[in-house]
Amino acid sequence: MEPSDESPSDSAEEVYGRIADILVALADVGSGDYSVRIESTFPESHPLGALCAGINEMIASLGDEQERGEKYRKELEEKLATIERQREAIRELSTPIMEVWDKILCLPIVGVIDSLRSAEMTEALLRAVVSSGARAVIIDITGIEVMDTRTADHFVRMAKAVGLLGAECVLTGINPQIAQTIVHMGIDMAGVRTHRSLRDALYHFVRPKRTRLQRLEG
Amino acid sequence: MNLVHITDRSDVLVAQQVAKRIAHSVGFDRSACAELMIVASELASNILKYGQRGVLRAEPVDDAERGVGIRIVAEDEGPPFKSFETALRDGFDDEGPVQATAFVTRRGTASGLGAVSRLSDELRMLPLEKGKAVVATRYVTPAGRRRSIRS
Ligand SMILES: Nc1ncnc2c1ncn2[C@@H]1O[C@H](COP(=O)(O)OP(=O)(O)OP(=O)(O)O)[C@@H](O)[C@H]1O
Ligand SMILES: [Mg+2]
Repeated sequence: MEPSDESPSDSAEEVYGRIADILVALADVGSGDYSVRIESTFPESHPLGALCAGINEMIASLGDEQERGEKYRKELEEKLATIERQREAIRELSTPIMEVWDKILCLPIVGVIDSLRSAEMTEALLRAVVSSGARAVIIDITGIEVMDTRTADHFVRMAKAVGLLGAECVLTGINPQIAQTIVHMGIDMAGVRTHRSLRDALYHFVRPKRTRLQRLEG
Repeated sequence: MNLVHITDRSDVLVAQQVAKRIAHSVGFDRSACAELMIVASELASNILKYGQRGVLRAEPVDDAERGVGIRIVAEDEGPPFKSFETALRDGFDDEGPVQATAFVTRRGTASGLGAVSRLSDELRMLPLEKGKAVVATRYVTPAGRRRSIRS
């Protein structure tokens, strides 16, 4: 059967032309463009036509795969970012320093205190005292369930360090066991003020001061 | 899961929770559970500080003599202890006493392992093919001494 006018011939020129098309398309794919398709003038029954169709199919599925991979990577990145944010939150929660009154900081300590956390707390607290120009700090240890004997010592040292920075430091919520340990271990409490409760300490700092006049009159 | 890979500060808190769960399931009281959380926490934070990478594991034990308890295992791939005995002392690293001026920069008072040994019944260190394991064991039946300040 004679090839019709539209039907391409098997001439070397025609074949080379297709192969050049294929090479160009593959180069595009190589550089990340998955939208290219080879336009074949050969029918699929022809080996070259079939090759072109096959390559087009391959490019399409590569494109899909790429898209899926990209989506997956994005999801993964988002999840990692979430984990990082949560870690950040956890780190912050371990030293919740609040300014409860003008220039009065409060550090309520809750839960498990280990050496890492007490070191972090000291660091964060001293930094906060300086940056906020605090005049007083209340460290409330009511919420501590248990602590190693060395940690009691650590709290007293932390209070003294705050004092050295020029802020008054008050320890509140010392329970009988901790009080006993402090005495037994011979920890020097000189210069460390204590109040029975956070409430008492707050009252001490924020109650209206008597004016000079009142004092003179009184 | 009774195993935590320690790669971040927050993993130390996960380790605490694992220890608490196992301790509670074995029958430790509330205070003892909190003490065992300190043990897990100290071992986990040491992995973070010195072990490069490692895992913390908690598992129930049942000893013929001592009865039930918990074993907290910290395995890491970091360098070995120069002297484990020395490291156990408060204010000592694994070589000797830590200078007071160093406490600020080294973030810690070198009393972590001291606390671990106070709060457990047995504390051992085993060299591994790669790295080492620190193993703390504690039994529910009281060893008859006061371990920490309890509120
Ligand atoms: N997993 C470990 N691998 C290698 N060396 C360790 C490991 N854990 C502890 N050490 C060594 O033992 C010493 C004592 O450990 P310990 O936990 O008592 O103190 P610290 O971690 O230095 O300070 P702290 O625990 O009070 O924050 C450390 O200074 C370190 O030299
Ligand atoms: Mg430590």
